[in-house]
Amino acid sequence: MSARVAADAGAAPAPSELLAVENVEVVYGVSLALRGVSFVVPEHGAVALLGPNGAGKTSTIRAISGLLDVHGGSIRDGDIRLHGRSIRRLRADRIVSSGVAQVPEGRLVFAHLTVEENLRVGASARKTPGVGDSLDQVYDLFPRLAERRRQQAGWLSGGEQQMLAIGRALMAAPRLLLLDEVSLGLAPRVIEDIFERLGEVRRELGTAMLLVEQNARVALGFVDYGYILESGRIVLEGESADLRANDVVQQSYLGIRTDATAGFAHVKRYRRRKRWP
Amino acid sequence: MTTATYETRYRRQQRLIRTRASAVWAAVLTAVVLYLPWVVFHHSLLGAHLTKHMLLNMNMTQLNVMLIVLVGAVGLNLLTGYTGLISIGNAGFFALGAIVAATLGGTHPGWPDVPFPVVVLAAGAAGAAAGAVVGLPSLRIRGIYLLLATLSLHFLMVWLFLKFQTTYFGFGGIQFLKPASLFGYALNTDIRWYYFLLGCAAVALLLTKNLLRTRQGRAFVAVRDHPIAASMAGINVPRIRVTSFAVSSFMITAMGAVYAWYLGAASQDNYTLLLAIQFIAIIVIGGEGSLVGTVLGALLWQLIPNALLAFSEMASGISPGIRHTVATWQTQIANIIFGVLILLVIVFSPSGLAGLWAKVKRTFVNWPYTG
Amino acid sequence: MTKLIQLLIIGIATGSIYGLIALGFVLVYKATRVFNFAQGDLMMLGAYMLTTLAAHSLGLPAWLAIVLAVATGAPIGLAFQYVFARPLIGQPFLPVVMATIGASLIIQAVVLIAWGPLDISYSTQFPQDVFRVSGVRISSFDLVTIAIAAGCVALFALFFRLTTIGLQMRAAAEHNEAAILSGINVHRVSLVSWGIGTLLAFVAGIILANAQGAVSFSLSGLGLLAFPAVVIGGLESVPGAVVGGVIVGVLQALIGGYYDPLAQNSLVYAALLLMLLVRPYGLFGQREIRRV
Repeated sequence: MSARVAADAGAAPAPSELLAVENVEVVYGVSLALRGVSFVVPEHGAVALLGPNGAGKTSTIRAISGLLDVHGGSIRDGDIRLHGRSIRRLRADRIVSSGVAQVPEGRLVFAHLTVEENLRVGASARKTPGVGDSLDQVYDLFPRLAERRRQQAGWLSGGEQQMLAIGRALMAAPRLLLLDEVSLGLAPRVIEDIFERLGEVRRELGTAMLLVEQNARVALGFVDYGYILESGRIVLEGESADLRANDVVQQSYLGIRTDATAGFAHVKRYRRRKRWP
Repeated sequence: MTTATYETRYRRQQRLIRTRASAVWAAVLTAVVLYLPWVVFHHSLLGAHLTKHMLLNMNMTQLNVMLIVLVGAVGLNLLTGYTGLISIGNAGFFALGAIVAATLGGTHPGWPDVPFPVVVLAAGAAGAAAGAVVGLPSLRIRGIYLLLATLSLHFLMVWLFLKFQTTYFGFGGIQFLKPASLFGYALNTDIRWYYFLLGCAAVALLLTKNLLRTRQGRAFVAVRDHPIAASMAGINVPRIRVTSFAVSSFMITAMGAVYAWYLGAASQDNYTLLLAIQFIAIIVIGGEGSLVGTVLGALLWQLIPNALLAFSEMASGISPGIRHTVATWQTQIANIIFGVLILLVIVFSPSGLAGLWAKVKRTFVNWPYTG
Repeated sequence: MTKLIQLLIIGIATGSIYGLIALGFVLVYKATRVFNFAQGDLMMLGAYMLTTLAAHSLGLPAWLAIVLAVATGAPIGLAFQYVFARPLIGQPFLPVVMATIGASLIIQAVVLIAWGPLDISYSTQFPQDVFRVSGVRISSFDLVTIAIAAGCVALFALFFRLTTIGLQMRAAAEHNEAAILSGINVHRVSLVSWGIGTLLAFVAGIILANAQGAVSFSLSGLGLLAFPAVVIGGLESVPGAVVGGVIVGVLQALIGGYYDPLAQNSLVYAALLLMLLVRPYGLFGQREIRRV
């Protein structure tokens, strides 16, 4: 069980680091949501941020995307760097044009706009040419969207809306894709399908990805590296294979019980014991 | 060093005037307010002569109108500041008050001639009834829609007034020729009007302050802050809203009657949307949800145009054109200032001047632990 | 019968002017959630601008004066956004309305100071002739008005539907947060909305100046009729604004023609009240779902 890695504050970024979050503290008014969170997303890499409800995963995503002020929050301390450049104080649309696009929790598609219009909106902050090519790429990736390109997005099924949200983010030609709870509310087959496509995106476009997920099994099956967030702190990190093999991760997040005695008494005892030595 | 004010008995805590200091202030304020009309009327303070400029060109009429407007604003503040129901219909209710006053005040041959205080109360009652009726739709409509509903009411009521005026009085307006008299005591000088109006204002302020200290009053505030939570706490939200409308309209309409009688005439041009907006300006700048704010707002409303004129006259030494410009456009410049103040207040001090004053006071109280 | 048709035509003509004001209002409301109480005053400002630029003051040829007057609407709208809308971002709804009420105060006062309280006459270059169609008197100016208004609405609809910025405006109006995270610069969207909204108000004012042959302070009261229009149409509906405007115009004409010309500006509000009681979200609006 590896201990928490101390953050190298002030060190020059390793050449393969795309995104570096350093000791970020996020507050909403007076309540502290993130208490000094640090992690790294390497270039072309895939990283998962796991943890229970309320751990601060969405706050992390919002902090990276510059959306905290919409929700009454702010970054109190720490820094967020993209390719070594600080993006902490950038306006949200600048962050998108710098190459970080978000697929938000709950999809948030524009229900009254058509599928194609939704996708085109995604290219709003884009600085590079080739919007038409990107559109074609998205339609290749998600043929279902191509079929429905003139339909209003509100009529799509949950899975299709999720694909639309991913497609919209891809239209910004991002170097880093932030995916917030992509599996939420979707049937297992649909989830499989979507992660297959995400894999394709990774292979063909080389886009790095940061996944925030409650569904640890699916996430750890996809990413290279994972961080576990609890109550605003990272409590564990490691290669996904190591995390999957970890006892406590298995019990808390993968639903695998290794103990023979499984019952309410056991659960109570489990809860009272300190989990992270 | 005193660290705070401690009360050891509930009785003491309930008192309006709680500390020795505020008792002193209250006494001073009462003395000032009672002596004020003599100062303005005779232009002299304890024997020393005051120039027009020192008094900011204030005359008795303006003082009295300010008091009338103050009571109207208190009514509006009760509705908007404390119950959260935004209304732009005050001018319409003023007009209604004038209609009642005209109907009962012996202005038209063959019409009843009812004593002044009864007319005022009757106007208030009519206003309360109308307000309650108006309040009913507010149960279904909230926020901006309520504003639009009261906007419609304004136009409809003013039109009603116009119909009334032209049917019985012609385009020249309604004349209130009978002098007002309070149980035989004729209100025929400005100073007498002043004390009467001061009494009205005192009653309105104290009544409202007391109302707000009761359960009913706190229910108003609860309904403003979170109607759904309030209803879950057992407050009958519709009834509170209707009550608020009724009480607030009582005050405004009664003052409409007084206003018409004081000026001696009432015509459709008096009741413009601009008048309603002035009321809103007063409570926003003064501080919604604060009675002190309403007083400050009303004072400011009356003083700013006067101050403008006074300063322009003083500045006329430097630039003679200024005096003429300001005199011609006094109302407009004052309105611009009000508009700017509204914006500044909303951006920098949403609780108005009263809120600002409270902050200043707190800074002094907490010194040196401020900031 | 002929009277009815005549009134209808006049009503549709004035109504389309109200529709333009209402359209500008709805645009701003959808994009920025600001209820601009001063929209009617902006319309009046546009009309007064025209008189300054026209033959009387600066001696410009009529068409140029009109074009320039319309053009001034854009920077004024941007300035308005900068002074009144931007500092109030994030404020709850009602203070923002109060601020626009304050803006209304200011604009009215400025207009009075700058142009004086007297009516300013304006000689219109528009066709004024009247012709008859099977007994019904139709003024060609009314037809021109309807044509211009329809043209503006069509232009605007094309802009809204086909341009990138129009798409961004629609997206921002629909879901502000999703728009931000998609990379839309909502500040720019807000500015453009205000600019266009004010432009539309100016066009309406200029048409009115031509229609009435004079510009007076009473235009501000006329401008308020945009509010019944938006309520009837639906506060967030672009087509609703236009339809609502026409309905208001027709109602106004009918009241003036059949009952009392003095009442026509006031009694229209009875329709507004009725609408609020029966269907507050308007003909084209959708019921709001409020989260508790």
